[in-house]
Amino acid sequence: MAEFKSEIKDGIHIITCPEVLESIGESIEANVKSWLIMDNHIHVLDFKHVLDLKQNAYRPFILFNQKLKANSKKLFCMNIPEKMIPQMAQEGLAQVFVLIKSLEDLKAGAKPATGKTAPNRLALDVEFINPFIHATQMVFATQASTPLKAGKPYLRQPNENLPMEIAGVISLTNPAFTGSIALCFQAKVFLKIYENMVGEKHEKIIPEIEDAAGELLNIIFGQAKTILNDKKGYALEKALPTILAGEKLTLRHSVGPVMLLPFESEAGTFHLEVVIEKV
Amino acid sequence: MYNLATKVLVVDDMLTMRKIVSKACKDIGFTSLVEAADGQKAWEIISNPEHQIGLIISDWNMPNCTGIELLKRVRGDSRYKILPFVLLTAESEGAQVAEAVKAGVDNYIIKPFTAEILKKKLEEAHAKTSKRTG
Repeated sequence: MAEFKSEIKDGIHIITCPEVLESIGESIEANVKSWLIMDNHIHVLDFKHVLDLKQNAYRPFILFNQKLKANSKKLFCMNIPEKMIPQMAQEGLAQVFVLIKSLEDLKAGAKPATGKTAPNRLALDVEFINPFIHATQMVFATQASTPLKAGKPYLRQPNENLPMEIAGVISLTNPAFTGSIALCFQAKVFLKIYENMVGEKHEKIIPEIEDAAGELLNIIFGQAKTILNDKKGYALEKALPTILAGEKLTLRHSVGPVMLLPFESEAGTFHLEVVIEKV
Repeated sequence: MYNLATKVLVVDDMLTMRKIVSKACKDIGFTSLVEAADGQKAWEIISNPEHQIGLIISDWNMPNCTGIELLKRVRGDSRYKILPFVLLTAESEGAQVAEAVKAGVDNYIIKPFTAEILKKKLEEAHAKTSKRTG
């Protein structure tokens, strides 16, 4: 039987998973039954020891998540090995294994579920921002072979203009707010990421390669939107990206605070801007 | 797996993504590829008998004619009811996946993806198509 270690920290139920996650004879189901009768509202699966996630383990965790959700409880995951992230995304498990960076991150942003969904609300908070951070890391690691380190998000100062030569921009629309997200690069960073992504080396940004900024943002938006709509009740609508390119490019978003999410990579630093305003 | 001489149509409005998919197909061993930048142009290629398309890999979210509209158009034509069709999508919302399955998609690939994932998804699509055609 797979051996899970179960402990409570600050009211959060932490489940440390074994090296190989597989369900032999209903081994995971038996554990799930015992976890479901616990009073804790938040359960966290810690993948720090996991080396292999077998397909037969998906179903018990999907059911675990569904039953928690039905009882206004939440399931999160942390320390998922980088190599498993594409597997989870591809198998549609991103909604089951909602990734958090750490327990501190969770304590700062997540509260026990109340059973109410949060459709159409206006909030530039951790719940809204985190899916974009996680999606950006996953998309760059998988599609561009570029692992990222996320920096601390902050509100952009009125006169702060970070250098950029290319940006992909997508409009955010739901019944309660509008806004936009923008993925912004300096040329040298974009060119290196493009090389990692497509295998072509370019000395400067030419029209034929500009759409990569939009495509990366499109995939990030798709991943984040799935979590925000399916899991958190936002009703974000589909949108196509546009691309802006030029020397000393500056973005003028509509009114509203601009949240800036910085990322570091071996190709250099770049950032994502998120801005929303009430309709 | 598909016969590697099968002519593959790669449909995406983003040139970068067409390059990535085409390169992955070439790495798998496909020798004949053609590209289209939207569903409308793709339909013109599919319905041209000179091309003899044997596999379609199409993006979902495109201007003019989307991937799901192209799929419905293809499945609505008796000549292409069993033409293998794989959708590429950046979104995995339940309702969207259900719509694709209902429309007759052979498999779908959620972006981001690696070349290995593309190969695995094409193998799954081939197994499904083979089962359907007996």
